[in-house]
Amino acid sequence: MGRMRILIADDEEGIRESLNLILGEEYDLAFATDGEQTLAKAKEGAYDLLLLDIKMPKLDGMEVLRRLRADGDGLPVLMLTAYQSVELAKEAVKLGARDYLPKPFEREQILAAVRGALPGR
Amino acid sequence: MTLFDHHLLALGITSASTLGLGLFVLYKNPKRNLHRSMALYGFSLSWWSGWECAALHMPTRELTRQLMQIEYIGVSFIPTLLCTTVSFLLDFRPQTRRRFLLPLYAGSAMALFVSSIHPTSLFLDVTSEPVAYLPIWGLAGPHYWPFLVFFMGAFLSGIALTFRAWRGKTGPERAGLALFLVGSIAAYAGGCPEFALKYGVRLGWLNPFGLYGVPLFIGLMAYAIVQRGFLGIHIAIRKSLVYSILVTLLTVGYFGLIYGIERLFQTKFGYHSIGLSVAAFALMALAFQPLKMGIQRLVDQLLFRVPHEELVKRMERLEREVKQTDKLRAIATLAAGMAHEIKNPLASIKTFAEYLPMRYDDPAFRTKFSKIISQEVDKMNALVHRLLEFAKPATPHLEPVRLSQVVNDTLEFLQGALVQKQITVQVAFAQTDEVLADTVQLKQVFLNVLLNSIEALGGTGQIHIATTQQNGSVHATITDTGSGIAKDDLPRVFEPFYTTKPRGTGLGLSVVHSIVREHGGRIAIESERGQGTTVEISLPLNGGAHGPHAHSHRG
Repeated sequence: MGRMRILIADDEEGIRESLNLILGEEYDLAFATDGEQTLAKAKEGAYDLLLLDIKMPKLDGMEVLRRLRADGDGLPVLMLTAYQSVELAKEAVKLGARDYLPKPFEREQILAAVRGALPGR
Repeated sequence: MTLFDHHLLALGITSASTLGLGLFVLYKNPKRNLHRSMALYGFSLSWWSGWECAALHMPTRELTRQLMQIEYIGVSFIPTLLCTTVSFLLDFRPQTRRRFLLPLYAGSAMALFVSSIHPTSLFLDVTSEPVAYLPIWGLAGPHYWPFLVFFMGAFLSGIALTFRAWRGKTGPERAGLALFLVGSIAAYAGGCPEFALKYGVRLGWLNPFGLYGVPLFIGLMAYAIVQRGFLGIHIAIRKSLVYSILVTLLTVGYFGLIYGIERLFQTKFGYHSIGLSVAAFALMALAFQPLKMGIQRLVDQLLFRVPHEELVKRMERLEREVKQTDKLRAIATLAAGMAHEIKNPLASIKTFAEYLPMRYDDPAFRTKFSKIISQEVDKMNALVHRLLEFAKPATPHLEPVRLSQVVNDTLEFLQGALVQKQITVQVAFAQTDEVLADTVQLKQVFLNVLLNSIEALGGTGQIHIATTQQNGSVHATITDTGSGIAKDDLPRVFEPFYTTKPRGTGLGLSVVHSIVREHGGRIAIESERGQGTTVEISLPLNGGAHGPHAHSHRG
């Protein structure tokens, strides 16, 4: 079985590089830097998991998630955000996100959430 | 008037005015200890002067003695209550206050006790032999002098403490204390020669004219309260003062007129009291308005005159303070949003730091490490800088600036709130929208308007911002799909302190209004309950005919 593929969507280079450090050894990673790019890449259907930031240019993460679900795409999604609010978390879970991870994050926390969200685990 | 009449008049005025002051101070703040003790102090002075005035009218020696004994209940507490007031005025610590006041209260209680068990020998014996100008008077008993020592000692210690505090104070507080000091000294210097009379000695004109020093003290206190906010009382008593003088003059005038005319004409024309009363009343009614204006002018000139420049300065200072207060309120909201933005760089720094020990030998990691860390630190620095730049109070500074740039910077500030509430903002900017303005103040304008929009939306919704340029003006319109403003509130939204929010300050839009006006622009709001709100701000185009005249400080 090949390595799992994860799409990481975040406009911050630092965050992309950090997630690369944490997840790069175990998984194949691809990156998107804004909402539209994320939607386009996710629709290719080549990924097992989407790590999605909320605050992004063009389309924000919540809107990306909304559109994915509207198209019937069931891709597992982990929300990643600096904006901790109960309303946002509730909304994300309602839209089918697997988890809602706050920034700054712990390495172990990311690994555990990713393992939990990947299919077949 | 005889000397005796002056003695009585001064006592009467003192009794009424000290009672009035005490009641007024108590009414203004019945819960504050300073006000309570000041009121009691006033009452003790009123007690003394009132009973003494009454005692001097008594037909028998015995009655006078009894009244004077009642009088001395108040007298023995005068210096002690002065010191109590001083201790609150100077904000003593409770322990210091107790140490200072305990012996004084003991002294007053002792005086009271002794005078009640020894009515004549210690304090007073009353003689009906004239003393100086007084037909009937209390004389000092054989042990009166220890009471005098106590009285003067307590008074001097209160004055000395106030004097010491006055030297260390500045500003209006110092002025208030100075008036209190001068007034107290005048009152005691005028009142204490009374003690000499108890030994049959008259101290020149100080008896009885010195007694007028006590109402003088009340006058100074009233002035300190009205003009200096003394005792923390900030009031506008101008109107009540005018009316009380007016009513006194009209009443005295009315009865004076009737009395005088009756005396004059009674013998010639018989008695026509009703016609006379009506005529006098009509005359008073005619005099009402001009008299009121005259008194008002007089009161304004004597008590409430503030130079024009001082008024302008006060207004400017207030306006600056209001703007700064509003800005600080906005900053609190901004800081909460920006705390979130700092979490992004923090997340990267934390992860890279965690991996440093494991990957230290990897040169590619080290290169990335130094790049990312320095980049993230710069980002945090920029965030903090932006907030500080906005927060610091600065003198207005006009420069050419694009309105669209100001809007974008403000939106950057609000990122956190917008993301959290899932509010989308659409912008459409004109090609040219440069104005001559103070950038920080304009940011405050858009920040206030946008914060209102965000609050009106309550949650998910949309805000449209557009700039257009037309006829030498730049217009910015901010439209939200929020709850709107009720019809009744709409005309009042720019009034300072007018708010419909449970925790609003009512400053936001009034500050917006004043900033826009100062930039030679105008602002209009259209809104309907449930239909959203549109705010339109128009400012003169930079280089246009109506722009504010100022030098550019750019470059």
